[in-house]
Amino acid sequence: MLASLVIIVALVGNTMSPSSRLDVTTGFVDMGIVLGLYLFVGLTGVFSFGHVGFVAVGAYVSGVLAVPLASKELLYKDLPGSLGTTELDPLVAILVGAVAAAAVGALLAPALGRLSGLSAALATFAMLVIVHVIARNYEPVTRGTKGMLGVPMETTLWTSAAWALVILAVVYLFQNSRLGLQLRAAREDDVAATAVGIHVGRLRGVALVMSAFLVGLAGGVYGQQLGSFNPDVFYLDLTFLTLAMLVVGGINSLSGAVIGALVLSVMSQLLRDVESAVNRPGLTEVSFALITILILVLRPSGITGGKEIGLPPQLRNIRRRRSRSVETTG
Amino acid sequence: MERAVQLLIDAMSLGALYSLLALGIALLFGIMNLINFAYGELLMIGGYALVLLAATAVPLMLLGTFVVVVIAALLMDRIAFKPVRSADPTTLLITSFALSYLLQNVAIMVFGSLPRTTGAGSGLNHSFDIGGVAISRLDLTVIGVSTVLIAGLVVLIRRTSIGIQMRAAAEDFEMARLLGVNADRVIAVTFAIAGLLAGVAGFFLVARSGSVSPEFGVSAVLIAFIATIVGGLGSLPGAVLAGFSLGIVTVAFQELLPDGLVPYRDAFVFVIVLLTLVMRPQGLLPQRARMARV
Repeated sequence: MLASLVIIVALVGNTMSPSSRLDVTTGFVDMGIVLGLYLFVGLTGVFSFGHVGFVAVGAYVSGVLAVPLASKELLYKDLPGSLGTTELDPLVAILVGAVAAAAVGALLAPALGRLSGLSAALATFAMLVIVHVIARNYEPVTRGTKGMLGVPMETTLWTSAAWALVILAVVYLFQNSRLGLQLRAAREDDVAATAVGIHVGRLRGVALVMSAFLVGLAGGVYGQQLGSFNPDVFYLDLTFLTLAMLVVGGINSLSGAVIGALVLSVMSQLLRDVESAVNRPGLTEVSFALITILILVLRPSGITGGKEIGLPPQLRNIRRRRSRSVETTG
Repeated sequence: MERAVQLLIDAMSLGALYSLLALGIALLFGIMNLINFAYGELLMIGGYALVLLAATAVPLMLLGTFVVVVIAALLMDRIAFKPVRSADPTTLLITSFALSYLLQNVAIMVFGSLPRTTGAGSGLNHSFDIGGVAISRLDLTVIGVSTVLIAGLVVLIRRTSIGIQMRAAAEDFEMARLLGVNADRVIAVTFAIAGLLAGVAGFFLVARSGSVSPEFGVSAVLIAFIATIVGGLGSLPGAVLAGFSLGIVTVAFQELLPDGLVPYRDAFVFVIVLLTLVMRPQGLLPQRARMARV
């Protein structure tokens, strides 16, 4: 159901003008980030301000690996080790970037296993700041505030939609797997979950690494959409945007993550059109924030209220009946 | 020796400023479970008020600024947070994020995105010499005023009726309401006090930097957020302790790191923050009422 929604949006987006197609692409990248974020925040109930740090790791690592050798000699003269002489296929680079993001997640996992609530949120935020400071200052690799240049721009509307679908599928499978169910049980009541033998801290660590991997993927895709970017792309604004998408959609359901990303992307696009029509800079941001607040005031648990949307009941019944008949015959 | 004294004064001044910021956040967090990221925009509003009032006499300028910020804080509570008060903490958090974003962009629309310079408080930038140590008047003022404000807050919270109600509400909000504490009033008073602290802290920040920009409050509120959590999730003494510790750690890294690593100072500070959290997940001075009772 959600997957078909993504495909419909991609089809509609494909018919639009080039600049709108770019916005749709960004929307899909954001959706990928929000979905990866949901895998951790939604399933564990632990808030994270730091996932944009993983996005940054994904974008930078995959970016520096995918820059063509010719531009490396020109733009990145001081690359350490064999980095200066490697050029990976953009797709492979994205995967390596995601692995790097997962590795950073693995470093943070033991700490998060011990923390809960806002302390955990602060720990992830500390990670974001550390990544940001390194990206700003480690000039031989990241070019600091001058920004990365020459990253191949491989991301199109279709590839970004495909990545969003892949991430959606992974999150869906994980959510309904044994681990996902255990995590959700721990989210509702961690003491009871511990009592029935769920190792809450370790599970959270697993969720963090997985979600860092997915968000890192989205980061790599984003980097190859932008082509050039600086550390400030991956900081507080993107953190606010992705968290707002998740919370506005409804933090406790996968549908919420998808819908929140869609609604806020479309909204900011519409607002930008209005802004250029009436020519008042700043209008987009102001109305965007106002509408976000309004949605939260009217629906404090998000648009979906934590429920999943799925097939209409009639169709679902057919499926259930069929599976029941399989059980009885088997 | 002179260098050590100098650094100590720097650290105390920075720490006192951080404590003031942290107290504003911690007060609200204790009562509403709200990390108010829009607190930074109260600092910004204070900053712009100073810019606009810079031509007037100093007492009038300060008074005007404080009044503006307190009113802004009360409006913030009334318009944005009251409707979502019963929602869960994440919704509150995003509301405050969105509010902060909103106010920053309103400031861009009104004042433009470039920093506005102001001479407000520049009179404090003189320093005088004691035994080879240059002491700036600003540092002394920050330390003095912060101490007085913190002491005043302690008296208010310990001794007065509204203070006792605030503590009761922080301990168990539902119970306090059942016993006749007026929730709206307690929260409004808390916002007002936080607003006053923001006004003072905003003035010091302006006096330090000499300019105001729309993102003026962002880094300050992040510091305050860190101090509030590290201090012990809304524990007021914890917030003060953590604020001072952050100031000291920051100044220490600035001084002790080798030159090549100084740009990475904040990364090191945050590593310390992470380690502190791992070692003391409940914060430096945990509050008993907030511990899990299982």
